[in-house]
Amino acid sequence: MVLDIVSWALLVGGGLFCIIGGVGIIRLPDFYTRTHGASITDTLGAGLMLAGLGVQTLPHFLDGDWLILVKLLAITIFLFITSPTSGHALVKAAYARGVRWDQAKTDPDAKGKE
Amino acid sequence: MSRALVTFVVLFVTWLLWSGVYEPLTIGLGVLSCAFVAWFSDRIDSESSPKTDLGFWIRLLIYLPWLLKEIVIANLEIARVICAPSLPISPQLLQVPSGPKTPMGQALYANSITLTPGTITLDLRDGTVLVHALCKGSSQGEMDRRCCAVEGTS
Repeated sequence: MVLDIVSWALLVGGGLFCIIGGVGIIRLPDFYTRTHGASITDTLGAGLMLAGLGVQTLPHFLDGDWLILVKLLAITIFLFITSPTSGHALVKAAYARGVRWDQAKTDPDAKGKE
Repeated sequence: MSRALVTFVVLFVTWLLWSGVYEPLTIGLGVLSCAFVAWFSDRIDSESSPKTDLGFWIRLLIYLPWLLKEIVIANLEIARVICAPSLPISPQLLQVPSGPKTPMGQALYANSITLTPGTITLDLRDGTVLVHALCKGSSQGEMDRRCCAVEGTS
């Protein structure tokens, strides 16, 4: 019961961040900034969902069936290696082909960390 | 030879974890295919593959929780920016000096930057990384320092 609540909180949270990432892809003005929206979906969105699924497997884990958890962990590791690699390949290709990055409307007063 | 052995062990553990079926036939097939791949890959790239020692992987394990924390903080920050009605962004390209010198350390640094929402690595050459940032005031300094620490002196 407690596990279900934790798991659902993680799953819904992950879904929320996926939606925010999607909203970012639509709202952000140009190609480069949109990749930042996509990286929210890739990291916290997918990460929270995988964590939620991992919590779901914990009852099976106690029964000795821990392979599912290992596989979820492997998916997480692969995802956290491949998603920055593909993101980098995309922006590098765009940059090499001369896609402008300075056309987006900017807010000079905006302050944010990273 | 020892490299091939490490490859074999990693492959075989992966095989066992993936299959979950522990019968003589599947284990035998696993030994055969893992040995073949280990022998094969040892022949392919004995020169070009990056050199790492055990210490690197241990230091990497210590680095990862910090990176995870940074990713969560940056996620919340960028999510807040995206959801704000005024969309307070100021995209910019930054030339950041890169501390890590080995291919493995540079890959770790560049991937860490890209993995953190709000910053993405465009290019890496001549000891500097070209970074596209969504907002002002990115704090790359500590990540650079920590990646150097993971890299070590080897």
